[in-house]
Amino acid sequence: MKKFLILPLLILFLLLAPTAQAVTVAVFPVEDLSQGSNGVNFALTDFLRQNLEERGVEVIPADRLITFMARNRIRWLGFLGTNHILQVGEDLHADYVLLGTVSQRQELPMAAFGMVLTLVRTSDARTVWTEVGGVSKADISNFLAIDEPESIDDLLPVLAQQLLVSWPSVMEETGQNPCLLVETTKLAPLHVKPGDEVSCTVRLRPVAGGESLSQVLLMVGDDNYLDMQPESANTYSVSWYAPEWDGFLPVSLILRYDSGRTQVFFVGNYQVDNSAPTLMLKITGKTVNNYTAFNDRLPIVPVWQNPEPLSRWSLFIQNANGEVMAGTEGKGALPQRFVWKGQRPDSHKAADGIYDIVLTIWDRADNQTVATEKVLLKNNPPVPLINAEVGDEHLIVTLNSEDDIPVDFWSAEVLYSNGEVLLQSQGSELPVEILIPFPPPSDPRKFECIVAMKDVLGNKVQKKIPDLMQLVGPAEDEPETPKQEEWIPEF
Amino acid sequence: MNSQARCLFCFLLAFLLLAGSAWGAELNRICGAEVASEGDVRNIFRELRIFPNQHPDIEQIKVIGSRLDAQIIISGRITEMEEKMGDNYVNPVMGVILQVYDGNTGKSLWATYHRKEGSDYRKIMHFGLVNTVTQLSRIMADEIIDQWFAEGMKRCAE
Repeated sequence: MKKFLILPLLILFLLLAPTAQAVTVAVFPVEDLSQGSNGVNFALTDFLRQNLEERGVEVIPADRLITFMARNRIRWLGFLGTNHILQVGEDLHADYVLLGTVSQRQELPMAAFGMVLTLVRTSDARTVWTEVGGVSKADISNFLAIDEPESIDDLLPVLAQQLLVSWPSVMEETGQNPCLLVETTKLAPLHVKPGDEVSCTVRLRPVAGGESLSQVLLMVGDDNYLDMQPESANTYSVSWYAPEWDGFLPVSLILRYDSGRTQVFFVGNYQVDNSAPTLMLKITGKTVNNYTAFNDRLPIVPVWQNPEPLSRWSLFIQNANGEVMAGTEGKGALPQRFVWKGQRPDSHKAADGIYDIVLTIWDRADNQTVATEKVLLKNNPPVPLINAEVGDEHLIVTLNSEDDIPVDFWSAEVLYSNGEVLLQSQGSELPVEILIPFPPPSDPRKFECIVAMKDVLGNKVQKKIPDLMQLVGPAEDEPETPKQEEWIPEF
Repeated sequence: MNSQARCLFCFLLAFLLLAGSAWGAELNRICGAEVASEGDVRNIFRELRIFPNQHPDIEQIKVIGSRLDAQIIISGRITEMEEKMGDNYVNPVMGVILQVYDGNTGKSLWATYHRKEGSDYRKIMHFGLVNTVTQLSRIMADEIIDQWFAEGMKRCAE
């Protein structure tokens, strides 16, 4: 009787064996890019889980997976690093990881759904199956429109089924033994001066079943090998001093295994830089008394002689006493130009005078360069100096400026007190003498004079003298009121 | 795949989201190329302080190639992607520029520009139309990979 039972059971087992796969898959929550970079599609995740279970695949429960993600701080969906993939195999005992990304999910203008599925083997972190596809409502046209999808909810199972058609029928649980994993490398600083200390730290991840290490070396330059010392578990570090010559030095990590095999990983280059950056300041403006002068806005343009990337910079404007009138500083690239509006930090106008512009820059190796320039600020208008003296036939008016700044333009207009213009004169050179003919003695009207002046920086002034004859001689002094000689009581 | 001639591709982040996933999948599916995981690429980008939209320089490409043991590094940029509404159908449009780098030297080996519309695949009436940008990106990936092989790129097993 038993023989009769065993035979049908054996046949049944042989029939089911190819379809039932004794593999375990961790189905991670599906990333949904249609909802942004943090989007997740639980409906599709559940659908995939259910579909795989129907295929006889053992699926890791969702709560265990979420706990694993929280414990390992996995914040992003749709992808995993090799480190986490191997961790899934060790912690959850999953043979594969199924990752999914919804690339498209929209109702309008027409319902459409697109996704990518990737199956990764946890033993060696290799992708063993991947599919991508998209489906739209317009893609599915049935006879008499029977059972046609109406929304993306209807499209989801259609597309998922399409992609899962090519799901591998035979799945190998063991792959190639992965090599030792370099988790992180840190080479710092990347730009140094000769003699500065450089350090490199690497963190390795030994893989179960992988080869064991015999030596961890760092190759600096072409032939300088440094033995890296274990700092903590699987973390190695070494530091050294930069050589005396300028240039870029390659750094590579060399792993030697017990088997004699060697692996080389390029870590990066570091630069030895002993030369300071060179630049000068270009300041545009009128040259007055050997200084670049300005009255309102001063454009300051750094001009590179040998451009190179900077780590930081600062620009300060100081007066003759060394007080900072304005300043700015920053990191990274130098602005193409600066503009000083001739103001102090409290936004009031700075006093006229000579100022130092000091631009300091530091390259990435902290080599410093200072570029300075002196400028003359003059934002007060010129002060006209007007004198008059009586000549034989004319009144001689002498016009000059009290400032050192050359005058670009002047004009003088002499009028009678009733507005009749007697004389107009203008020019660009000072001092100048203006001859005004005397009026007839019977004419009682006074001379008025309006003088306008503009210096080469653009500062303008206009001065009106109501009675020009007053300049000729001092007016008679009014009798001075006698001062109180002694205190007297108020009452 | 011949492990001696291991052919590992790595997609850079500027191209990773929609098209990158599709292209990686197609490379893996069509020619059996081993594609580095997005997580590993992102980790190295973070370590080298490369922003997602920033293009790595030649030294950084060498570091990425060495760390991921990638012989080929592919980066790309989507120049155009939209879905135009046609007569009762959606016409997706996509344009991409792909750059292929040598993972050992960081030097540029190849560049490809490709632009297609869903209506380019119309056979008759609405038959053959591609209605989703995801499906279009998959077809374009197939076309470009075929073009690369036609112009001399070797399959991993060859």
